Amino acid sequence: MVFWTLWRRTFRDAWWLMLGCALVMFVFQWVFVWLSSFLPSSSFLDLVQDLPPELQGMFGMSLEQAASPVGRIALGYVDPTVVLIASLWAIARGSDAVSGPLDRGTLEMLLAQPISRLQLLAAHSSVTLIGCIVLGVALWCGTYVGIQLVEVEVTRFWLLKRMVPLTELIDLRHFVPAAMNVIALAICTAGIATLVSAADRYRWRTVGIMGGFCLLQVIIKVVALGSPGNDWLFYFTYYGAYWPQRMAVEPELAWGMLLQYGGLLTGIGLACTAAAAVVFARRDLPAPL
Amino acid sequence: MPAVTSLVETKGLTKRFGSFTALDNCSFSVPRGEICGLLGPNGSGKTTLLRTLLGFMQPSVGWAKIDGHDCYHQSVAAHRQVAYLPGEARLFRRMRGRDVLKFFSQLRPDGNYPRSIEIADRLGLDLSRQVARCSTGMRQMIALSFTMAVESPLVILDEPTANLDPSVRSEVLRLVAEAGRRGRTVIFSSHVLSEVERVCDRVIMLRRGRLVHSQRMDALLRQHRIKAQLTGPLPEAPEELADQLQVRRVGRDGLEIDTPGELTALLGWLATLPLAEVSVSPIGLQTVYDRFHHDEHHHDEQQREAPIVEPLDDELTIASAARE
Repeated sequence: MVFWTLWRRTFRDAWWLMLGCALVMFVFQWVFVWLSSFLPSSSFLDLVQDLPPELQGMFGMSLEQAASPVGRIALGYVDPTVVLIASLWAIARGSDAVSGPLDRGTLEMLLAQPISRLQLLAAHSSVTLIGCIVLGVALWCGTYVGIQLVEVEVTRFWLLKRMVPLTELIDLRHFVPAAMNVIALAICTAGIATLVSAADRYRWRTVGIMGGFCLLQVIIKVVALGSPGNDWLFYFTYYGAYWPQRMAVEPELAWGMLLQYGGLLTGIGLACTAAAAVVFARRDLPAPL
Repeated sequence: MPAVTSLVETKGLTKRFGSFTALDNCSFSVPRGEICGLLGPNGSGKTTLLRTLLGFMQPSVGWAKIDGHDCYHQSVAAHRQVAYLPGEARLFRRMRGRDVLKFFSQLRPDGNYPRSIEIADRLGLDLSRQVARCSTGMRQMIALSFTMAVESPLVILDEPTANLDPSVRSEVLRLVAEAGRRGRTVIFSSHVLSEVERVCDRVIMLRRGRLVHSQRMDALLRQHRIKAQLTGPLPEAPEELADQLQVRRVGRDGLEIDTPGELTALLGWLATLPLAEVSVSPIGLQTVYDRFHHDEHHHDEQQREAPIVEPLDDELTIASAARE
């Protein structure tokens, strides 16, 4: 009863942010699918083949895969907008776990009640986790709606061109592991943010630390993608386990990759949340300023 | 007569932040049903003591227990016994006052929503207003409403009347007194001595993190200060009175005599003294407070010369008595 009262309160706090982020994910991916339908595969291939090899590497898959209908839609999953929204949710929620209410002064009012610190963190983290799942589902739903509503021109029997719905060309199930990889990324980021928050006193500082850390991680991945000889850099960024586009274009390998990469990201996220619980349970709570 | 048991007990409670000692070897107990005032200047360790009692901080040394539950390691069990009001209540800004009362009432098995509404009415609160639009005083009153409505054995109030207007202050003091009459134990931290005098059964004083004095209020009410001008040489006090009295010369002719209680025997001796302009007044808490806090440097000198702690009741043991 007490836990659910707390949980409802936490959920209400997060509701508008969750709704906003999910809506952006949904609309973005829908529009992305729609826009990608304007560019035929052959034209896309012509366009990207002229790019320097360093930039071609940014797709994270072969150019033929990227030019395919599935590949072009999958690029939406690695678009900075998606990564940004997933990170925004994760950092906003993670930073609000301990340093947020400590900074605002509401933490001591809550912890003066017969509530354990672990209960408080569990209520908060479960809402964050649900939000991560909702974002992934919203992204997939955006893909689904986009694919349902868009038709593309295809050439058949040598020169005969006709419009076909995208649903005929794309199996939506291919995007399930990709969406789950996005969820795993958000869980990982949220877990790390929760750990920083558990040790920190000010929310703005937690957000700053996490913003800087995420940016650094993205830069490491971009450098690794752009310089094929530096694959070892992937070991220094958790974005090295973020390959939703490859999961979409290589469906036969997708679930194995999800298990490996998604499992790693989720594992890091959960381990950091567990570490946050230990830090939070042991730390002193200073009086709010 | 039933045995008096302590609801709150600390032993050697010490809290250090790096090289700074915020709380130093504090041992005391608060019996059930007592309204205990906590006095001390800013930075004396009052809030640290209360936060340690609430398990927000782990003691560096020593322990604190509420109803036998360790405040840090068994904080949930300890919190079931406590309703706490911080010095400046920070509430959920987007909630309305009524929702705050309902939320906190639901968070506790002993929460009492109708009673909190009743208290809010007594304080004249507009509960339809969003917390973000409330003044600091109104937020404090919202927090007071649900804190005082909880039927817990212990209430901890950290400067509950700060930010409140005089009429609400009186109402708050009435609530505290009512809690005491209903057998609840109250720890009442404040800087307003008149309020402490009005509601507390006992006060304990902190200075630089140490518990330096305990004063039962009923004993204090029996104490008087006699002020007069000397018109001749002052003879020695009679032997039977000498160890009860504190006699001080003030300036060239002034005389102050502090007496711990019964005046009858003293009046006879006073009548024989060469005095003029004699006035007798009760010693207030301010006088006791000033002994420990008014002139800290002067006090340090005194401390070296004589013990400053005189335990006045059996329940209190002040291990932090400065006897360096």
